[in-house]
Amino acid sequence: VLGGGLPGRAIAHSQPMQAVLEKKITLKVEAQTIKATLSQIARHYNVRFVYSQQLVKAERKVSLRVQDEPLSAVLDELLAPLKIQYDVDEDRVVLRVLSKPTSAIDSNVGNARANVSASKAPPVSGRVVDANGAGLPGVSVVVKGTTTGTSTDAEGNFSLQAPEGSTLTFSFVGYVRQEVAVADAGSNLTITLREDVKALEEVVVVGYGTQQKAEVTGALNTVSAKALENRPVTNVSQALQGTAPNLTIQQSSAEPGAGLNINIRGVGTLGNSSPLIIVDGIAGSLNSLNPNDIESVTVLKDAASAAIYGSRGANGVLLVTTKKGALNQKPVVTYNTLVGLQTPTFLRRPVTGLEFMQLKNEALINSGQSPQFSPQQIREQVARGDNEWYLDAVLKKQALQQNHNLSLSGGSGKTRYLVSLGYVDQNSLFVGDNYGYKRLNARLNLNTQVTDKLSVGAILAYARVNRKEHAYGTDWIIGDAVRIPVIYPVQDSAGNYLTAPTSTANPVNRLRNGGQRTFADDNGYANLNAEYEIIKGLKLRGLVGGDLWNYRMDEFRRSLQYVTPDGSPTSGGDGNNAVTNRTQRTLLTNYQTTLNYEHLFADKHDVKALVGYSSEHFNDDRSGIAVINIPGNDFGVISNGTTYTGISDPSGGFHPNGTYGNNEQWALNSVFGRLNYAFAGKYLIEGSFRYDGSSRFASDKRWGFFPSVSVGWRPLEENFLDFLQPMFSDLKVRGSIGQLGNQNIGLYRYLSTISTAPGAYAFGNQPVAGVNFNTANRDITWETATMGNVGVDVAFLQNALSVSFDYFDKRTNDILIDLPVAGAFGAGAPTQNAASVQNQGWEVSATYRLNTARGFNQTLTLNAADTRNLVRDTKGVETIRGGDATNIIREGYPINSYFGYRTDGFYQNTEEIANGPKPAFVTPGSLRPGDIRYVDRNGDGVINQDDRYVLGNPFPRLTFGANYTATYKGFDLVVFVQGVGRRNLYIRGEGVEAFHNNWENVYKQHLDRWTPTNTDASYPRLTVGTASTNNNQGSNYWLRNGAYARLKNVQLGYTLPSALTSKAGIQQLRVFVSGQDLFTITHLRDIGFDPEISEFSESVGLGGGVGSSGRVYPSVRVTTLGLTVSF
Amino acid sequence: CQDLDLPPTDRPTDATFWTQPSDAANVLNSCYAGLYPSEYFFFNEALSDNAYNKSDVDGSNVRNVAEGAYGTNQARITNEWGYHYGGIRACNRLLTNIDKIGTLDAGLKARYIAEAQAIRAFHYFQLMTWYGAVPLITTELSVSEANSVTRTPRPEVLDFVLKELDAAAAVLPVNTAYGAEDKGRFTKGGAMALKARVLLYEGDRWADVVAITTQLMSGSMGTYTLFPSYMGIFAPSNENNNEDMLDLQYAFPTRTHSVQRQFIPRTEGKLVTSIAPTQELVNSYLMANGKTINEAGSGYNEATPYQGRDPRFMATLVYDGYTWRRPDNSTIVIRTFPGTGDNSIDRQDASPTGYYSSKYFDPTSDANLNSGLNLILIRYADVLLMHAEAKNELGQFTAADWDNTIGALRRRAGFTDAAALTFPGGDKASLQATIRRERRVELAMEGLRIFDLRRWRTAETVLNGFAHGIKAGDPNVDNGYIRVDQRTFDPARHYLWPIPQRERDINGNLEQNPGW
Repeated sequence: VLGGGLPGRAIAHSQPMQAVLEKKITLKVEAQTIKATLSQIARHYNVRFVYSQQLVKAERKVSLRVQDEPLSAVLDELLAPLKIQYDVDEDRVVLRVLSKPTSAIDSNVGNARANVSASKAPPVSGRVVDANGAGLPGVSVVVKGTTTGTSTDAEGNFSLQAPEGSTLTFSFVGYVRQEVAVADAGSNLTITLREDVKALEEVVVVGYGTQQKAEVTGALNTVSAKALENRPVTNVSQALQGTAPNLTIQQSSAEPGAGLNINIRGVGTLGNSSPLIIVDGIAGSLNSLNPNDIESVTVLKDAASAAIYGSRGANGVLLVTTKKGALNQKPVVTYNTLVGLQTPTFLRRPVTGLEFMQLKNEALINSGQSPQFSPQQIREQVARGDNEWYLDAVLKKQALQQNHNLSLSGGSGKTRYLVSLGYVDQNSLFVGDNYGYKRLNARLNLNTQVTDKLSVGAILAYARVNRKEHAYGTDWIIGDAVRIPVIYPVQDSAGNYLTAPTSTANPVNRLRNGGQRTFADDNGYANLNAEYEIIKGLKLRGLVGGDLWNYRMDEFRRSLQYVTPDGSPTSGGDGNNAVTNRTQRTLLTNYQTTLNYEHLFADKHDVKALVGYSSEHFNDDRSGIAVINIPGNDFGVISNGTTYTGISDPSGGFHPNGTYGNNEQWALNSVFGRLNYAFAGKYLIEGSFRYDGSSRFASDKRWGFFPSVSVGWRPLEENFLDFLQPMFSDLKVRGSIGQLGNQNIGLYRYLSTISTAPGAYAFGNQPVAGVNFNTANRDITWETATMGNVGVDVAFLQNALSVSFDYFDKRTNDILIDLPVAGAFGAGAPTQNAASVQNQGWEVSATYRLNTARGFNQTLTLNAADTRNLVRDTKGVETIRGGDATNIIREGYPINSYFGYRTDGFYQNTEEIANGPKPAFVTPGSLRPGDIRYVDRNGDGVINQDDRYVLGNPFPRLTFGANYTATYKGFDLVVFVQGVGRRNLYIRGEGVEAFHNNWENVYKQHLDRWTPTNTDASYPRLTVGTASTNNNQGSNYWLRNGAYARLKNVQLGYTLPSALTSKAGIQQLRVFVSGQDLFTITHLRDIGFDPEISEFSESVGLGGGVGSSGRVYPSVRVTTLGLTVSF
Repeated sequence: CQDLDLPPTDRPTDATFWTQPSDAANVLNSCYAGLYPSEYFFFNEALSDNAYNKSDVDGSNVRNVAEGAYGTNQARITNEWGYHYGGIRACNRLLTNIDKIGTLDAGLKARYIAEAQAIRAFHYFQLMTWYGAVPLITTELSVSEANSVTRTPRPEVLDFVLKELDAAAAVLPVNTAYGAEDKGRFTKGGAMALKARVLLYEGDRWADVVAITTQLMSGSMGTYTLFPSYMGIFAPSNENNNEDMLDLQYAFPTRTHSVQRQFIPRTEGKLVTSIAPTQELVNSYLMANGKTINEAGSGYNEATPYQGRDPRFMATLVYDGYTWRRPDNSTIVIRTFPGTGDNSIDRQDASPTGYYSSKYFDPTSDANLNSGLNLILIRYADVLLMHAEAKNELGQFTAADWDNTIGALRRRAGFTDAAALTFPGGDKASLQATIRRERRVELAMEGLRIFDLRRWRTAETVLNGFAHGIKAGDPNVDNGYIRVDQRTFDPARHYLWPIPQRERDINGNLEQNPGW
């Protein structure tokens, strides 16, 4: 089976692994390095090669012409003349030097001591084996400090003269070097060599191409398919969380279908800071992708790696590559499924009815009002017993979630293919009519070699995303549900739904009978590409692609009937039924041409060049219509409505006449290029640029040039640094600097557009149209981010431990911002290039692999990162926004820092109040013991806005992820932990504040409120209404520690022995359990808040405060059973 | 290669606008749309002693302003500044660009200009009333100009407002000259009535007020009469009646307001009651015999407080025992005493005072109480009240004046007792009290009381201490009338709102008002 006449090594491995060597290869190379040839095979045939750089250092060139021959034959032909042996291990082909066993002792006269010892002692003998216990031939065994040595024979046996107390060094290409002390002469040793698993030949996807990882000089991370597979998640963003340092992913809601926020290296602009997402070369989104279809995701972080995306690279880039078939691979059908349950977590804990009445009375009395409940009423309530809490009534205890994937991949002749189907069905926890999220994915990836010079590929994907939900805002449902105390029933004895005080609706009735909203979105993706080799090394590539989305929303909100607590009928806030329809169609088209050239000059000068042109166009058509008064309340279709009603365009604008229709478009033309030069694998330099023209700016401000340069040095390749070899197994130092752009602002902002507003006013009851003027600034242009990065990649212990570290500094200037303008301007602020933000941070990742002799293989990967942003310049203008939680954009502080008073404990007695500073915002004399005391910053005896501090900022800092995998005899285990080391979370409103806004919400945590007998309380005295004004002020009392560590995913699987399954024609059969979000360490559990839920959008823009007020859909824990089977 | 010149295909830009007559008309329509918001219209009452706003959020939390517990960044105070300058810019835009439209009929153009001038004058009048001296801006300022303007001395702003209203009134048609499709536009009478109000608020221009009100009452500036029924003025079927001199026009369903949810009974509004009339307002209504409740022989009985009162009381306020007529013509008796059900003061979302309001309740509104009912900014009754007040301040108030003003209003209201209808005589001070009381009840819940308190300089008296609700509390405290709110008013600074902190943060040239 093997080349080099050493049989038997591969027999222990399973059939699918052997199948690698049987792949049929077609290859034609002339005077190409072995390295390049191997990469070519690796790329086209999905084979991974593992070998040491030393093996191919000479850059020897080979010529080869094979047609449909097995890989083994190709390798034999290629490697045998070089005395390189190969072996299959798992899914990799490991290459190593073939040494002839020598029994003779190569004594060296230059080392007298060794000679003397050697002549006296009996020989040391033994056997060198691999992790599976198989003998390793050709291992070099040397007495350390001497040139005395030998090699093992075909069975791994060796014997040599070594003095007592000396050390033997065992080394073998592809394995970790090992040293063993010789205890006594004549001993028989068994040495187990661990495989050096670092894949030096690993190829990573970069912008408009691929690169060998060893040659990468930019800052990037790659997330492999393995990290995304078999997770009980419904979208790619969730699966990516925690997988790469400084790839920060936050969710603002766990509701099925809710989006996630993605940031790379933090937030560097005041506008939209979401990264550019490229799917197989075309700008797109992660929303409709099936995680199982993904081969890899590359995270481009610095200017060097992202500059080729120019004006859209400033927020980082995610390059998604989907799976493809491999050439000459038998068709493989794989089916995998996960079926499991979601359970709500992090729920607030209600007080009992008795406690509620007591607390409410206490709060009223504290507020100078009369108690609401008489002792008689309280006794009656206790006798009656509590009702089900509304929050429990709106949520199911559990909801089903299932994922199914079916794929067929393979390759025959000159064509390789992958066909896949995916289906996700995630039920909502809300009671009601089967609410939830469903997605169907279909994909065809096809490549064929048309002629020797021409290859053509096509990627076609379709996704259907369906979402069905109640017809209201989820924050209203949850807000109502957590606000109502358990003294009120959901329904009366006759089954009528109640509108409890403080609520104009009943969330259970809304969920069960209030109608529904359905989203049906279709996504079609097409990518046709071709590559033509003009002359050797020069390739012309072309790509035509499109991403089409068709969005459809139908909402029917029924009118509902309720009863008040007195039993009188009311329609509450749900008197009108309404139908709303929205449609939107977006189409992105993209044409790209690139010219690539690769050549190795004089065996040392490795040159790669790329120039390209890309043209993109985006068209967005949308319309909507809304009507009310549907007779009969049953058939909620537009045509049954009798009155138009106001409707909002999700992209902006409210239309009181009930309809809207818009068409918008943008275009981007780009020229880009990259030049790589490597000298002898030691010195690496790369330069790239992009020249972008955007329709978003006026013609004279439209074009932007974004260059970058990066350098790398591999000291281990230097002869004069040979002494480093024992310490390091790999070392690379990198540095880069460059500029990136950002153009994420609304369209037509340089033009003063005028929109018509039908029905803006009325004369004599006849609606008349108005017009809205949009303030324009013709001078706006690109935001520019200048970014520097230094990094080091280092590996130890024969690559068993690898560590990467990066530090970056990014300054974004000319940030497009709507600076606050004086009210006297009388219109919205025009966008201007006015602000500057600095981001600094670091990231580190480390991987340690440990494989034992008994096949217990473990990997631990850790990543940690931090990013800190600082507003450098806003032209001296501060932006202060928000209500309870106030945020500030102030020079010298992070974007949207929390801004408010500092608390100084509670007032404990009237003397403290009399002597303390006077808050300007409360009626004089209304403070009481138990109220929050604020720090009088300027010492003027008055607490007012001049006493506010910057209190902290909401962006997650010190993010980390840890992934542990282990395999042993068919069992496999994945444990994935993810978290945030530092974060401030401002929690407000009914989420934490008892009797917020005169409502009746109060929770268990409020039992520890300040009273004259509980002065060391965690919560101030209870108050209602005006009396709460003091304690409700924006202050750090409400700022909580949002740090957490979460057991994100645990998978435990078992793969049945192939000997067993192959009888049934099954290649692989794996059963597993997988759980998501199983356990969390947090400070917020007691108050029922999930620390991961963010109130912020990607831009740290305020997302409406829904998250911070706890009006969000609850977080879930998912536990599933899974099965993977392939034929 | 894509074309990078992609102007919008669904809307004009400034390069293609200002070409058709309808462009001017539509810009002017937007000026009207930004005249005054329904929120301010209704919640102004909660700034005064007539009502109490319970909510922390509804009405921009004007409760805190009424309490005197507010700073320079209070929401209403911050927003109202920007609101009026937004309206001013819209008017300036029209006035600056209207000449570009060559095809616009000259007569129409003159009227459009006059309408925009009047609307702009209204905005400056409002700004001046709240903030005192404000930047006077008559062009479309650039951002940098706007960020550095200074406050124009108040007399200059006043002078501008008066002149603009004169100029507008000279061009504007009288109310009867407009067709049905133009009802709601500024009229000659509307502009002059507004001018009278501006002068009235000055407190020392009584003769100028009388000059205008006399003209308006003579019929030379349009045809105005008191609508026969007091309640009927505010009924949807009587929109644009001859008492209505200037209003905010609404039309269901495209332009609606729904603030009524917040002051009609809880069971009817189905939402939080956040504008609750006070006991103080209730007490200010006369008895049907023309006597105040505390006067000897008034016949007022605390046990049956709502009997034998000014007919406008029942036409305005809702009280315990009130029979509410629902849109479907069924009725419900509103109970507000503790323990009486969903409208009672001990219910969380119900009125804390025990009173609701029915003025501007629109029975034709939809199930969520969205209403297309116009909101009247100036009605002819106000002209009569201004006339009476100014005459009295000049010491010229005669029995004939009484008969033309207060007498007429009381007859229309439904008073029949001669004691209430005949001129009471007395000195200027007692007549002043009578006229002011008349003004309070006639215009109750129409958002004007707070402006009167400020120009009379009585705010530190009536807006200090407790606001009360019905007699359902501890009998030892305020005679059992429940305290709903404690208010403070500092005459040293509260007569002018502060320049919003937000504005001064951006524009250091804006000096702050005294005491802030």
